[in-house]
Amino acid sequence: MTAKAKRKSFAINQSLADGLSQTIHSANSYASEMRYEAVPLSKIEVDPENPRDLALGFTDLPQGPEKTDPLYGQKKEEIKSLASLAHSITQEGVLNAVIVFKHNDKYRLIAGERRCLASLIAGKEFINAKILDQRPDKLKKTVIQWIENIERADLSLWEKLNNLKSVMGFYEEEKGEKLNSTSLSEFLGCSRVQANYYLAAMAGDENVQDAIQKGTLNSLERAAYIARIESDETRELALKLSETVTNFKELKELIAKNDNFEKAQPKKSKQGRKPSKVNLGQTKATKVVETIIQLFTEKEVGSKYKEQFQQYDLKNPSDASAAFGRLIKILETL
Amino acid sequence: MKVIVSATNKGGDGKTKLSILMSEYFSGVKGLKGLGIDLDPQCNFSSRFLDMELDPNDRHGKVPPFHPDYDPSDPEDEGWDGRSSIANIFFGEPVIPYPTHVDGFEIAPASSSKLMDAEAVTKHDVAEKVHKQLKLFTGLDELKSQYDYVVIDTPPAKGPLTISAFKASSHLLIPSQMEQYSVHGIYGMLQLWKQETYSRSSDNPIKLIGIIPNQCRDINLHSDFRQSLMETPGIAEYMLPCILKKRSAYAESDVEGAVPKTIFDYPKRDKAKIEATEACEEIYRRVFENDS
Repeated sequence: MTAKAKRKSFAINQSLADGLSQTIHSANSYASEMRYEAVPLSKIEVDPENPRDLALGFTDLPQGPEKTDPLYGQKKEEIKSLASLAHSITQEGVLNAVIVFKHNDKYRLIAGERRCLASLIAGKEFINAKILDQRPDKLKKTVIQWIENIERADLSLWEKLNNLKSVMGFYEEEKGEKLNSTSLSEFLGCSRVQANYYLAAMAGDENVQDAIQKGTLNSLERAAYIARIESDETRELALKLSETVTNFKELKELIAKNDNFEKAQPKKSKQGRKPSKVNLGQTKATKVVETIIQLFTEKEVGSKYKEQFQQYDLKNPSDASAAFGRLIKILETL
Repeated sequence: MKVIVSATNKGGDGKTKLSILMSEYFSGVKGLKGLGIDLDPQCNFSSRFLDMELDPNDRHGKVPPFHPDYDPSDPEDEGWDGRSSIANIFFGEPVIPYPTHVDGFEIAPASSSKLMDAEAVTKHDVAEKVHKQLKLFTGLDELKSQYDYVVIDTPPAKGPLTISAFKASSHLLIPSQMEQYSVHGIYGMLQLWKQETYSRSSDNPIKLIGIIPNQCRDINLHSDFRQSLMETPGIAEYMLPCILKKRSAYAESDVEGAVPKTIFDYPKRDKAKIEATEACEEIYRRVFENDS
């Protein structure tokens, strides 16, 4: 008996197949949004409806502001602050295209003012731009700016969260519903974990917000972690430690030790009563949790905790479990 | 007017063959008025329809023959050397298409050295002097009023001439052998297509007609690669349902003086004719009928 010869088989390498698929997908989904080309800097203008944070204008460059300009000093400082970006543009060009919309024969900026000014300082005549054919609505503009800003290393966590609050505000205004972690992740194109971090950080108490604003808490993941700490004392300790402990793993270990210390203390119990655990049961119907939380937060006693539950997608079983756990913790403190 | 570019990154995969088949089918069978543009310095597309001559400036290259309308005694033709090629657009000179043996089909042929000269510009000048030129040419009102379609054959590279073709086109066809390096060539062209798409407004897209398996043999490699592509999400809808097999008929029809001249004049039951007709009919449907 002879062995049967095996049929030779071949397949396209998976990463090549993925690359082909992704390229087609990118082109098809991009085609309806913005087009991308080099536009003359002389045709770019700021959008009067977009508040600016720089005094320096396009007409001040490349020659510099007039000495008689009342904002001369501020503009000179701004030029200095753009020097390093201008140098990088001279060497590498603008790495991320600015975003504009067509306005008559000009282009109005949605995002990228600094890149434009720095390009003028660098002596460039053209800049790569993503072009929308018309002014976007408020929501779209805010989302575009959010997506632009999220990549910027020079923006603080506070600035990013404020941007996100605007996005969420406009979303609620337009769609009539709030964003939860699932819808936020879909809307922004980020992971659910990331979306949860944002929501947790924004829901943090006054002290957490203060730390973010001051810049002592400038990492999103860290801010979310600290914001979620149940115990007020532990959270306060975490905020203090965060100022000096730069390693996140070390910070978590120190916080956990402190939490265990607290848990190890004998609980005060009412005279004559023995502590006992209560089994609150299980259910597949996430609506049960939704209803309980809704009823609680509608009451005066629960209304101040409403925002804490907004980060959860209560239709998702694991989110609903976490939300219920939080409810129990809150109720235990009441 | 539809402007169709046949392009892939790898030589020998069938760009010129598909350009020829489309031209002969759309004009010879469907009766449309068409213009062929040959941007490949190899001049194979041009050689199909014209008796190209050796290029005095480049012993490996070719130039178009004298134009049939050229009359050296006519004062109107004074200053004209009697030849015209698509390369003229890169030098600000007029282009005079040549008639061909296919009714309703004319060609703006290549000129080897002139096309190579056109590509030899600086990075600073290439956008203005090369990339935009073919789009300006195909945008001319007199062209749009004369032709229903334009087919552009390109060199096997992502150089300035190919980019120029993309910028002028409304549709892209990618022929490919079902083999490793050819499929890599598809990826290169899709990148170029994506880049071009990003620079267009939504009302002026460059549509991907699809990928047509070419020179297929009855071997596992070809069938497995084709199957692999058809099973990849996002690509499947762009794989044309027809294939072109490796047949001597295609090479035979390219021979000077071959009778019949075109595959579409072969006997009804000829396998090459059947599959070429099926392929061109599918392309025709995607370009002219389902073009929403």
